[in-house]
Amino acid sequence: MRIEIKGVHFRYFQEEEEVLKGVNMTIRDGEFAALVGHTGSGKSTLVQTINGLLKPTQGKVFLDGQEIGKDISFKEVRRRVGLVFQYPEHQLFEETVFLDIAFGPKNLGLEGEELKRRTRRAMEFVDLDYESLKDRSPFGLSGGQKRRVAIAGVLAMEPELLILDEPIAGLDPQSRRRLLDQIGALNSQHGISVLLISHRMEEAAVRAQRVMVMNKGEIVLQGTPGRIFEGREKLLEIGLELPPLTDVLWQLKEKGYPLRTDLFTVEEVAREILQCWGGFRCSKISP
Amino acid sequence: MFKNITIGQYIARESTVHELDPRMKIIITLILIVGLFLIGSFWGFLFMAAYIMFLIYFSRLSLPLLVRGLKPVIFIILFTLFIHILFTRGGEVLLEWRFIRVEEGGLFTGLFMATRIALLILFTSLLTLTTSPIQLTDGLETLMSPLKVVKFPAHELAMMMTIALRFIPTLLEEAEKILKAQKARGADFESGNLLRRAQNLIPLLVPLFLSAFRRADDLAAALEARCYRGGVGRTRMKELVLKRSDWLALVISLLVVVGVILI
Repeated sequence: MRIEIKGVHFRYFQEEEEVLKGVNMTIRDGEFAALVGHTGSGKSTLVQTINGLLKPTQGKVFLDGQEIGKDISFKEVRRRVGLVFQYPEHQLFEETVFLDIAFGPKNLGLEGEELKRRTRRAMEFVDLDYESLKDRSPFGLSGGQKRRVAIAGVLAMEPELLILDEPIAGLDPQSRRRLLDQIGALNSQHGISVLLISHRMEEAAVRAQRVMVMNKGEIVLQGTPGRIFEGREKLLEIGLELPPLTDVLWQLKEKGYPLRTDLFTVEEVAREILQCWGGFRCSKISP
Repeated sequence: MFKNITIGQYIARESTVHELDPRMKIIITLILIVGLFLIGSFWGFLFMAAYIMFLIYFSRLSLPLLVRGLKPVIFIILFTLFIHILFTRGGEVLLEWRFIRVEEGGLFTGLFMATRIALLILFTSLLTLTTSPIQLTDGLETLMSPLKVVKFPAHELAMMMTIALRFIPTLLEEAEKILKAQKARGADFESGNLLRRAQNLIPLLVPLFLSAFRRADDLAAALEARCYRGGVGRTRMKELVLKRSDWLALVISLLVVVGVILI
């Protein structure tokens, strides 16, 4: 499924400044994209226009070429585009984990075996054990588990595109990594397109194929993570930081070592530095 | 969906009415309300209406804004009016058609009651619109403090009110957020009959209550961390002092009330 956002403007109140100032953006079928921006840059507002929770004051949003709200109903869009809000565990309300996850599919009119199948599958996706957890109260679970139950609640609607707004905020490092791995697997193994929203570069970039950077209601940079990091000045200017490892490369480069600066994983960065160290490129540091 | 709620709304302006002492404003409002219930004549109501126009003018608020505040109670006003018109008896028969019978007494009582309610709302909303919640609770606290002799928890009550008012916008925002999240999961809040709709609110209300409790816990911890232990021995940054204008406002209001009752 392909989402195209064309010239979308949005403001909450007539008198106020626009939150979105003519955004153009595409999310391609099956991709893992990231939307990065400072708090208040309009990220959350933008994704809400995708599934019709907010109507753009100007501009259009297309889903596979069909205009949302005109050629295709909001209800249909909400089924195909799953939106996980910030701190989704605050929206849990049912007595059992099963019922909470089944809420979405039930609203789609599903019942019986299909409902069970979807709930079980959604729980497997986020690594929750169906048998032992389905009858527990969601409020008795750990923070990380609650978050995963909430995400499963959206996954159970079997969306083609999953949008996650700051999905790992407030989790401990281990849960963060685990959740990001699971989201990655949803994309690579099950073909669900993912749009990850974050204000921290290192969370978003590492797994995404494409990064879009937003500032003050506009998309200011987009491209592969490596290319985005090349625009370090621009990022610093709008108050975003590079992932720590990329920053190390930049600082070394500024000291005169000829290093690449478009890398961000531990392995890549380590290899780059070691190669430079061992080879003649970095003769400067050799003892 | 929640944008029209104006309970406890305060609009900051620099005006004579805004600057009055909150205690005096509360007392005056009470006197005017008592007055409203003692009025028995058409002229009395007209006078009272004129007086509120005068107050609104001096508060530098717009009349439409105050009138908008009547919207939520319009049903109650109309209901009162029609019930009285149809069922209160007395005086000449004005209209008779099948089982409907309107008598003069009914019409007048209905109109009087409706005006009474409308003016009541206008006076009280003028109070909240021109007095910040903090001032309002400060005023209430000092007014109620003589009752401390009989162990009435004046400070605690005022504190509770302050907190409640403070959290109305926060909870509305929270409700809006949860509403959206459940809508994204296909929840339907707009269709179905009354019972169905009430049931559909559960996915909104349960998380809302949970978050309210969570906030209450946090707030309690924060208060404790700052050694809050009730009102005993607390001092104020801004002491309330009665000025000449406060006494003047009281005298004018008293005269108006006595006047409208006697007419």
